[in-house]
Amino acid sequence: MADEVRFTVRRFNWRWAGTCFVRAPGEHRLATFDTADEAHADAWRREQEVRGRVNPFACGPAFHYLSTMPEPIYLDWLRDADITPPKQDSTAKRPWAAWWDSTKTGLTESQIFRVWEGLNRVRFFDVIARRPSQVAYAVVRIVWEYNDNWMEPGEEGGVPVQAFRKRENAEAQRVLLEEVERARFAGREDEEPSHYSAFERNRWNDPFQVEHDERGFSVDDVVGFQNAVFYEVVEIDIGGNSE
Amino acid sequence: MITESAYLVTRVGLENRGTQANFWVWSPSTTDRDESRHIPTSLFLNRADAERELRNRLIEFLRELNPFDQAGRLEYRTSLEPAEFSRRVVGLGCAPPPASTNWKPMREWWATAVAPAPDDVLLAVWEMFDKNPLWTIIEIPLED
Repeated sequence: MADEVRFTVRRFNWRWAGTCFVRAPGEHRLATFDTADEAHADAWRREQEVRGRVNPFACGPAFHYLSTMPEPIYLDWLRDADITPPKQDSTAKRPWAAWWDSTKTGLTESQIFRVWEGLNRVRFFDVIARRPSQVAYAVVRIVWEYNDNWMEPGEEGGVPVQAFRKRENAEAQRVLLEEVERARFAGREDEEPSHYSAFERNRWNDPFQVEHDERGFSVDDVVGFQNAVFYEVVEIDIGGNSE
Repeated sequence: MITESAYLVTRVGLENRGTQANFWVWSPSTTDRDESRHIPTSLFLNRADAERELRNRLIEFLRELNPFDQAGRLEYRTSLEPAEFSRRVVGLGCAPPPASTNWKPMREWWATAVAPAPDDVLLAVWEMFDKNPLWTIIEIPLED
């Protein structure tokens, strides 16, 4: 195929931070399309899906994380669409997240759109354009660490071991390396995952579906070696197009 | 199969160590095996280009992120003594850092005295934070 521009949908790096979600630096590339229209349609479909289950006011520790509009301007933004914003509580703060939970079902589709539109820092996906010759694929070893109960992969990253120009070659190498890693556990297939053979995989899960306990900690999703990730392929740019 | 050397620009992995929002601290070399976790971002066929990219990434990153956000005391960032750190930043033309090395006054100082400074000054201050590499270059084999 000619080296024509293709369009990649990326998910921003949202994570749970104990009391709310925060957007960390970086993105994850999810899917690539031949046309911009297809990519934007896919990104919008994903955006809508996440909006349907996430409280936008839980996406930052303070209002200025949510919008470039100062809060008083946002209040007017809502009132202009006949939406009554929450009043300040006894601490002079507005209980936005609770207000959203109790209000959203009574809003029209266009009012819901209005709420999200004003919160212009709460976005989950975007689209970038790249030529196939502008991208490469790094095979990254996950750095597992024992936490006295099971193995943890850290929240992101690993050790890059090799790069490829073609995704299929990178995937083939990843599969090979995974097989070598899993061979260390040969004969233990029937064991319950435990300690050094139990692997947490929260970091690969949808950050908005991770359960949290009453203290705000994520409930750990631990699996056996058969379902653990030992290597991953990360799409990167060649020559500094930036992530 | 032809293998060539390439230079991978990576960002060091960030860990959220607390239960408070906006509680970001870097996570270099914290594993049992003393390995840092990296996120590959871009690949170059020569080191000079990779270093140029690294510099740009670092500037971009530091303009957005305050290294003294919670849990970011000065001594967690640099092995320089506070007096020596102060002497050097003043020498760069920045306002002197506060007497307290706690994260709150340091964060305010960074935001007002360093973040708006020219690129070269920003990078020179960051270079003193030897405990916290953020962007690195890794030489790596590249195949088809």
